[in-house]
Amino acid sequence: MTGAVMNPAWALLAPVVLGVLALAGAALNGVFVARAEGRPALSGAARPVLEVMRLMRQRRRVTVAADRLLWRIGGMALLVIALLKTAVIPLGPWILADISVGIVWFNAMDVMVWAGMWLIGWGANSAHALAGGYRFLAQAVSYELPLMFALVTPAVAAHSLRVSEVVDAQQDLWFVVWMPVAFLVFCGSVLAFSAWGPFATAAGADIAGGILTEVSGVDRLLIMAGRYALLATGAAFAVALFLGGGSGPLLPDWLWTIVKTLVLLAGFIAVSRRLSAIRPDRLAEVAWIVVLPLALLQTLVVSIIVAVRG
Amino acid sequence: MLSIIVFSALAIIAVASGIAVFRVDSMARATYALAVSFVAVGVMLVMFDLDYIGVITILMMVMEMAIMAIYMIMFMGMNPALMPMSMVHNNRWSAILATGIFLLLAAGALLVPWPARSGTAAPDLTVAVGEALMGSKMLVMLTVSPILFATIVAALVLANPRGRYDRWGDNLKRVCPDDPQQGGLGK
Amino acid sequence: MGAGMDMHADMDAHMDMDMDMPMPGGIPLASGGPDRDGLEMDVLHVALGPVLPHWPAGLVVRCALKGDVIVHAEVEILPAAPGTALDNPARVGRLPSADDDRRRTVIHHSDAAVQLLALVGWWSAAGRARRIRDEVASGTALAEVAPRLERLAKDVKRSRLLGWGLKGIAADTGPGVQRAGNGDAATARTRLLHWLNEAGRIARDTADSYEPLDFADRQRESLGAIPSLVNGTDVASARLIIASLAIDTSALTTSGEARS
Repeated sequence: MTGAVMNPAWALLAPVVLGVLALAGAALNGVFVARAEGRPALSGAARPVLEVMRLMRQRRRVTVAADRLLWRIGGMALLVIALLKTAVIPLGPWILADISVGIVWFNAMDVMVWAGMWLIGWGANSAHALAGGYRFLAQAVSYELPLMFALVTPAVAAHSLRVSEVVDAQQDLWFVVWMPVAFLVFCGSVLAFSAWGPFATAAGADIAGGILTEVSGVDRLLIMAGRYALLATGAAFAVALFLGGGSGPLLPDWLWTIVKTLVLLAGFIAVSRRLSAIRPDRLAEVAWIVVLPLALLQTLVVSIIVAVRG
Repeated sequence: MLSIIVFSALAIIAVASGIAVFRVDSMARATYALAVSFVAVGVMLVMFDLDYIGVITILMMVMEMAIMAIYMIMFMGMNPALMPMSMVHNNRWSAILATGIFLLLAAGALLVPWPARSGTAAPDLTVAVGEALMGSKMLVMLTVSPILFATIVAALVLANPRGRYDRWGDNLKRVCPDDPQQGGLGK
Repeated sequence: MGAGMDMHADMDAHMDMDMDMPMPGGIPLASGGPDRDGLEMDVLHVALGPVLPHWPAGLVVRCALKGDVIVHAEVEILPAAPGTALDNPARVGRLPSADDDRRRTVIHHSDAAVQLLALVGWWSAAGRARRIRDEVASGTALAEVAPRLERLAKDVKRSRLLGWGLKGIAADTGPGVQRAGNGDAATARTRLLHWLNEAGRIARDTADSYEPLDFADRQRESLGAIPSLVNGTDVASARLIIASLAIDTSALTTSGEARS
């Protein structure tokens, strides 16, 4: 599957696929919420669509002395970053830009999320929003290093930073089998950079919604959609790095990729509702003293195995 | 042709946002203008087929600016983020220095006879860069990195206003440390 | 870049800054003060409440913040309009009956649990507590919800993530108030477990063994403890602390005492 040259026109399809995945995630979340509130599941599944229509019509609320330029940039950033990530994510045999440093590209994009989240918090000129923006950065310095080592591990095993080669290297054995710690750290980091579930503290209820406190209308829509899109791209990238990409019996490659991505995405959303928030002040010590050494150890073990096998 | 247009546009963006750093009123905007400038430079590096260097420049610089924004706002007192304030300092000498260095570098770029490429580019530039950096200079790297790391740790230890005796008591016998904000492990 | 900022040259102008400096959005400059870490920090005045999600309606905590750390807090309760039947959800649309007080206690306790669970972001547990509360308020038999309350209490007690997240969040309002069973100081977590266990017990027992709800005094005590409890904590922890006091502002406004 390496080196399949693609017509750039396919790039137009990527946002559609991403949009469908994000919408599926939102619908599933809606179903969970509806079930928790004792409403019919279908009303929950329709909720994202209704919410899109509501937010499209809602007038923007503006705060006093808001830095509108940075605020708008931050609001758009998450969705744009998710779209830029899709460039290096393979869908079965196809990949938009199979660049030699695909994994680093993904990493660079999730660092962009730092800027985006902080700008959303900053722009509103509101105490709660600002606390949310700072919280995200505090969380980011906890998850980023473990995430980097989780990304490095499959690259070490595949001798390449090219995503398609990482997928190819898993023909015999999926990486999740012999690098489970890296997989779990990566999944946790996906939740963290999407500000989701236990890592949604930047938008936590304990700071009155944090970065989301003051955003409304289209800005809010873009941010919510961006978070789902980041979650979806994270799931899709985990499929490529750890779950064998499109490999699987019977179904075509691209369908397997989508099925696996959806399953992982559903897992992210289901798990998230059952966990209480992990505040950054609690996370920092654990991330640096426990998780980072574990991730390093995982990288070391994989490196030794790779070196021994030659 | 297209690459010339894109490259020129990126160059203009890099310079313009570099200028914006000194023209805007707010620390947040100045910091992120600098980030935009660096990202444009990173994309230009990618256009030179230096994929790894280019993307890593974007990664490092955005991360750095996100953190630097915090420090800029923290240390520039008096509500710096919202107050219009002068971002330049010592105008005359900085202008003289900047012009001088620009002329020097531009003269170098134009006058030095650049060598033509000998041989072809490596098929995988990432591997080539890695071997160039780490291959023959591994010993240097192995020596430098522990020293750098030790320097960082030592600097942190010296700068830390609250050492372990402050936290764990004079006999280091407290059950849990006396911190203003409790951590996750109680270490 | 930091050295490029012309701060020193502006120092002379500092004196008349208050008059000349434009105030963005009409907001005056923050004044500075020493911080617990030895830095000089801007002091920001922020009022928490009177309206926030998962917050006692009408409660206002006026905070002075350095960063997100509260260095000073004052508590006030906004006067409310005279109470209506809606203030007592158990009684809406029905005649008063014997188990109204039990019902009211269960509602109060599960409501308090909803607020705290929502603040810690445990949405599934918060949703369960809310459903129980709503069903009790709309007339479901108490015996029916009792097993669900007990199951919820068990899940909350078993959650190590919650225990870890709430560790060190103190909620001790003083001697003799809602101590945990073993005599330790009350924390947000012991309070939460106490509400759920109490609500489950009251819902199950038909005998009059429940705690009566004349807590105006206790509420006043909780209210008075807020400034000292939240001093030195960050805003998020302060929210958890205040939620774990389960302040019922209606009990305080109707009893005449509005300020502390």
